[in-house]
Amino acid sequence: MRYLPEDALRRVCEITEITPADITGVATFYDQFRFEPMGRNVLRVCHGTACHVKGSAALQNAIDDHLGIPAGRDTDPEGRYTVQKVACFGCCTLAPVVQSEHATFGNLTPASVGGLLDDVERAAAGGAAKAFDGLAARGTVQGEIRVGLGSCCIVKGTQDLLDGLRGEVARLDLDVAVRRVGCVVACYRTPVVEVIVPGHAARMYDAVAAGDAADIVRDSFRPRGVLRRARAAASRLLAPLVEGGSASSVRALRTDVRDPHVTAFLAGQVHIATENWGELDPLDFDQTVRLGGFQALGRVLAEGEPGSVIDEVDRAGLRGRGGGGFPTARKWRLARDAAGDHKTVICNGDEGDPGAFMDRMILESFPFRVIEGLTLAAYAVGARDGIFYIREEYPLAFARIQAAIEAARARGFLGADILDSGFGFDVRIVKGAGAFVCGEETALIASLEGRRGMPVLRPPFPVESGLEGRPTVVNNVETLALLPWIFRNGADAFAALGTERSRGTKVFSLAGKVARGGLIEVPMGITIREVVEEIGGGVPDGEFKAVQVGGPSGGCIPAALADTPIDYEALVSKGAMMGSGGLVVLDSHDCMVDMARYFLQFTQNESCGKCTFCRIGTRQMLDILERICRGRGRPRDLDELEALARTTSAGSLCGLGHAAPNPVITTLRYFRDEYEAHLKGRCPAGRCVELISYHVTDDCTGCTICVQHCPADAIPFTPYRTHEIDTQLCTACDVCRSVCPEDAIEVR
Amino acid sequence: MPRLAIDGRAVTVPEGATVLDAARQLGIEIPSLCHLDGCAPSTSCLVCVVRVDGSDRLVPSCATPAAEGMAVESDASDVREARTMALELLLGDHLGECLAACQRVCPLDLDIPNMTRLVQSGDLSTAVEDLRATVPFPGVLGRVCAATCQTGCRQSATDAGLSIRNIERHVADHDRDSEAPWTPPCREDTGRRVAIVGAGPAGLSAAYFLRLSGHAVTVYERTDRIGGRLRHAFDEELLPAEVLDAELGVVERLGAEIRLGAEPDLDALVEAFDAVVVAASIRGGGAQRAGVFAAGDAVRPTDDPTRAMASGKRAAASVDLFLSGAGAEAPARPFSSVMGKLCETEMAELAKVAPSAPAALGGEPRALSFDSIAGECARCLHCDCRAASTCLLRRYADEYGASPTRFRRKRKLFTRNLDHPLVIYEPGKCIACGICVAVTTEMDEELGLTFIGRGFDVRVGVPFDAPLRDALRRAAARVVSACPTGALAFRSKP
Repeated sequence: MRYLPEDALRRVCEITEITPADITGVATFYDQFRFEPMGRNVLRVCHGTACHVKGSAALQNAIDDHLGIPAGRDTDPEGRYTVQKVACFGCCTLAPVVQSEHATFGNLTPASVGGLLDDVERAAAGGAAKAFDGLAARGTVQGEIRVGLGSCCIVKGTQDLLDGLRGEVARLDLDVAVRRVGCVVACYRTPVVEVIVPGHAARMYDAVAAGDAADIVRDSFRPRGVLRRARAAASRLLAPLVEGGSASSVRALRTDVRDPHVTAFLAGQVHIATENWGELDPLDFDQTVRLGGFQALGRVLAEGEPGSVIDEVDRAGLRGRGGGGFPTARKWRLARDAAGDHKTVICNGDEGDPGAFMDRMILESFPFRVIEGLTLAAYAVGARDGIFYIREEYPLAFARIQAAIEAARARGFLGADILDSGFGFDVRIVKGAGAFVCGEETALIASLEGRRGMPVLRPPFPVESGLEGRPTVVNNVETLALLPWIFRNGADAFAALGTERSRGTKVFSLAGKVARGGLIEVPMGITIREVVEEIGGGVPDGEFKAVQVGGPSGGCIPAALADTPIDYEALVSKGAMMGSGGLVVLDSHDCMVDMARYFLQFTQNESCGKCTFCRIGTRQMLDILERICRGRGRPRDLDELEALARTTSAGSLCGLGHAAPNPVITTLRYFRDEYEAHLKGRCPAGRCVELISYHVTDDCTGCTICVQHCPADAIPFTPYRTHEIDTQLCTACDVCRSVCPEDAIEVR
Repeated sequence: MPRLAIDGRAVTVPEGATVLDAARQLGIEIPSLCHLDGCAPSTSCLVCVVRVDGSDRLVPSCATPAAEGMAVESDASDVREARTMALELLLGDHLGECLAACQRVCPLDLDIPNMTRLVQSGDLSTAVEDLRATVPFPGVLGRVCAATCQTGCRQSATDAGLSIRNIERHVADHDRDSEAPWTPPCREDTGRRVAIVGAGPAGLSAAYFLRLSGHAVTVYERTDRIGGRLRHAFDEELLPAEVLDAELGVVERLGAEIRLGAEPDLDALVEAFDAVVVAASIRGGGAQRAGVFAAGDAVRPTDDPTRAMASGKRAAASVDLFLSGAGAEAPARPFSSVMGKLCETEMAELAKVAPSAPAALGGEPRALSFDSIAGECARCLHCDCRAASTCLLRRYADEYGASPTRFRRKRKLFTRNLDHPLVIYEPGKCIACGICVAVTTEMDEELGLTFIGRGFDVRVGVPFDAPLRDALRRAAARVVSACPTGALAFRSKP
């Protein structure tokens, strides 16, 4: 029914022990529960950081306007469409992104809304989405074709491409395996296809389309047997393609790992959590084992004892990758030493930071690796059961982990007696119902217990008293994904990477105003500049201004401090924090006050509402920031912001509130001049709608495209004359500027 | 048995005790709104924060276990600043008035809604006791008061203000005409002696309140009668002499000595008494001396008897403070939250308490039957806070000097819930501390109360929007007494 009718809730209370107070409290806490029917179509507009800097607010307004959705509601009066705001889909390289039930759409603009809705209707008419993981891979003789199938890739039509490739391989009756692999990390080039022919260098094609499938196959393979070759030739005659033309066009898409941009993107990276990226079929158990999967677990169960497992992780210097950087070995030791023989390990896959999608990618691409990591953790602390906590917004991650758990269980890698070692451990998956605060471990545990996701004061720490009062270890996805490598390659090899206090690698999702966005894994200690300029290829247009590290808990580090190394302590000393690994590059068109406002809007929305500082303090900061962005700031606002930020950080109960002021603190510290400019009624970046106005320059040819697109009718129809914008009617939606072929619209 | 130090003072506490428990054991008061003994800590108000072992973070003392060797700071300046900010954040989002508008404008600070509730419930004897504790001669003022309260009354925006003066008169007359008129009790004798110069409304008012405080009082009056301007400023018809005599007579009944035809020398009085109140225009001034207090005409001559009596009352309070050794400052006005202008829908919310009130009586002074007076009381909107004297938010706001306006934002709409026969719920006053939710759960209420929503918009409500009476079948008395503010209160004194 896609909503919770009151009658149903009452019935639940009648037939279970759940009280009306509990069910009301829980049902109104999480974003995924609603009390009103949905429209026939559902659109979800992503408001992640990358989408925000690429205009998701204007996009949302355009969609709401187009569909006639009244202010303050999410469904149009006829019930045709429900349009929801979503914190982040983790498709940051495609920003801004909208998802329907059947498809995901990226790189949208307010001007493209009409077309978007047509596509949505078409996708809906086409029936349910195709299954993500329908086909199993098989062995290969003639070669192999690999297609990246992370969520981002699927957005760009990779599923159709995969089907096309498989169809062509079948038609030509080739002994070629068409394999889906996990995330190909270089999201900016997707969809990527790699063709492997034994004895030849791998061929890569990037930015291909579904229609290129046949040509890609034929570029490298010939049909088997004379008869079949003839038949294929005949069918090709019927095809509306000229062979020469098609081959050359597809060859233009060929790239290879030696291409300078690919080399640069990969050069600084070290793949540990993302080992075998672009090569491993996420759900191919045999391939996983061939490539070293479960080796670590096998060895540990055969030789190690739990204490030495913890010592190994201690030697590796591994710290939690979820944000805080707590030493993993210390956490495990506390749990191991805690009283009680029923202990639980939890994989925290509630990646809620807007602008971050590392955990999603790891869960989707390396499900067995995370299961192995969780099992290692369980063995180390003596846990019997484990839980994957995965947010509802990540359906593919959920599906793959579920399939991987079944496969591992079937082969004896999970269950009562793993690999005949006498060690028993099994796992289940729980979906997060949509609350950022549940990434905080005590809130996560509260939600697992069926309560509102409200953090509680630590101590007691979950390692002593967690789920149902039992010792509980909560580890982040990436932390767990690093473990198998550490045990296969040794703690010293891991510790050799990185800095004195931050060892190993960190996965970042690099997005925003950067030429090559994607999923990167870099050794700790690499500088921000190296990440942005060398791996990311710099800022495409405009000037590199800052990076936002760590999402709503992190901060904005200015370009002047770009030589700061990626290291837990170094980032904290600059007022940011590692967070879970979102890295959004900002350029001169990004307003730093608006960034602070954006993040406070997020945390304010996501605060559980328990403690005064977070519940009201973040709201007060947001009030002030909104006022400043509207040009109505007061002179004492900056001091008040600082006082609120300081006290909210010191006094909040949990990590969310403690870190929530960081975006304010860092922007005030590094970009105070922009705040002061706003107090004088000016937005230097030309971003804050109420402080800017749109004007047509002399470059205008009078082509009327802007007139036709303006949703506010603010540009009179004056063909072949320089257009004029009525600033009274203009809503600063930016459509005119984005459609103008002459670049003749300027923002003042 | 962990041993720890709070503000440098060592204390040993039982295993399992919190830092808040330890502080209480030392007699150090840490403010707390959301803590309820016997309930698991809710750690929501964060007003009880302290610093432990020099950390950057502050922690709620109510949930922090006392540990061996812990060094706690509960009085550092930034700890106090954080507490003040927590209070100010709560106040910025707080919707309600500590005092009704009528009381705020009353120079004598009479709790008028309390009086109307008592009259309405027929409890005139308590009404008299409360009235005479605040107003020295209500039978007089019930006739001649300027009654700014009637203009201040929120009903005056829609209809006519309540006829408060006539209500006061009715209560006072009812008492005076009774067989045993009420004489308020004086506190135990302090052994201190106060001279009052002038037996007009200000001087007599000062005498009245000083006697209630237990000080010995001698009143010196230049003429041969007490009452001053009250004797001739009003028509005999409006204020008959026998009413005036009976009302003013209470001063002597309380034990004050009155010397008529006396014009004493100020220096001699200062010499002979512990304090002197000058409540008459006297030659030579001299009110700047220690122990000498001015009231009434000695401050600013006024024809308004209420202002004069209020001036005497203030002087008495100052003298009382002075004699207790606290200095000669005038007592500070207590913290008071104010909503300001209300819109029409908010007025309608207020008016829900008076659904079938009769037509307004009008403000003209006259004697009226109990039924008419009770009918007029039924028009009262009770815009005061029932918990004004017990509210912890108000008390701590006072103690910490918290500003109610620092974080004032565009306010929500004032609403009140009267679904329960005994309880009034005003959500704007709720600080989302969670105590009532915990209490109803613990008492196994079938519906109980719950948090609804998340973040800034979280509110406490009844599941499935059921009426409050179904939520509080057993727990009403406990949630009302446990509520740290006036969000949940009894509609009238139980």
